Amino acid sequence: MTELMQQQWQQVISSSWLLALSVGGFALGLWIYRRSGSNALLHPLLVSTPIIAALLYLSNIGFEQYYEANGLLSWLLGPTTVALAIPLSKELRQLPALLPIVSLTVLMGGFVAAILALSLAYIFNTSDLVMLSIAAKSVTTPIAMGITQQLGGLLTLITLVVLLTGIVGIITTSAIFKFTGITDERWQGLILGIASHAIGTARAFEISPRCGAFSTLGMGLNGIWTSLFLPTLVGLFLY
Amino acid sequence: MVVFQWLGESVVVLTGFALPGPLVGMLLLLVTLSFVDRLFVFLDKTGNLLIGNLSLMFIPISVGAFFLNREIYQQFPAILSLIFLSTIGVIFFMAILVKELLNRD
Repeated sequence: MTELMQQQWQQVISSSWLLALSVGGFALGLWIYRRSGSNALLHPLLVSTPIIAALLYLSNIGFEQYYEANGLLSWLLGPTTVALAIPLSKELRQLPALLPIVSLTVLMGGFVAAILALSLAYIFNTSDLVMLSIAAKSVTTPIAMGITQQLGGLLTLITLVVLLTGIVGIITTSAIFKFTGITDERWQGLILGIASHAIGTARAFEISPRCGAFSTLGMGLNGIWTSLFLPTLVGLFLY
Repeated sequence: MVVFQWLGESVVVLTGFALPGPLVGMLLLLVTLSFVDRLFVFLDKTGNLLIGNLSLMFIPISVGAFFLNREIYQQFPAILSLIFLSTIGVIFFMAILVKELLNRD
């Protein structure tokens, strides 16, 4: 009995330690990020993850064990996705007037994102498998995994590609917005959401709730739109 | 919010849509919120807390980037430059598109 309890206690310690590692690593990353004046190059996702990965290597813990212990954090993504409806509902009233620009940007932006990714994959001569696994790169992770599975790509690769797309997006957008003179938070948000999905949306919410709401809109609409046209488009590129 | 996630997942299972359950749940909550104002006050605080910590929830899956197999790392220069160029390209494209559309109005 005591042995069993000890074993269980061991399990609790080992798993909650890994969860604390994520939260602690994130808190450290956030502190550095805030001190830098929200410099996108020092985003918590860029600073915290190598620290956590290094600690896992040092303590000889596999990724599977770590990921399982952090199930709570990944699970929270579900309710949080649902919660995105709250800021979105605040902006919904002014949407009808903006609908032409919003829909055109989503339709063309989502399409160009996929065309660019596939053409570059073609030019760089990557394998068909890689091509299948990068096509859905601008779409939020859960939808991208669904699409990639349907296409027959690698799920481990698409999650990484989606992540990197999000990071490249948040690093480069402020410079691009300055260059092109997009100052309205609503359009900044929309573009962030279409090009770099949930990571862009997390960044957009740091700019303002309104920016975040439009980012959510761009992310959601692009996810639905891309899942409709991508299978046909990928077919054209492979044959 | 958990209730709406569950509702969304049920809709997905029942109809066979190729969309993730939470996304459908978000759409359902959005429709409900536009009819019931009181619900908004009730959910606002919790929702903001969750959204404010969105980056934290991506930490576990992002750490996975350091644990991929060797074959993929070999194609990495190509994949990386592809992601970089296409993402910048599409953001530029959309920024100019939005600018043009706004000018026309």
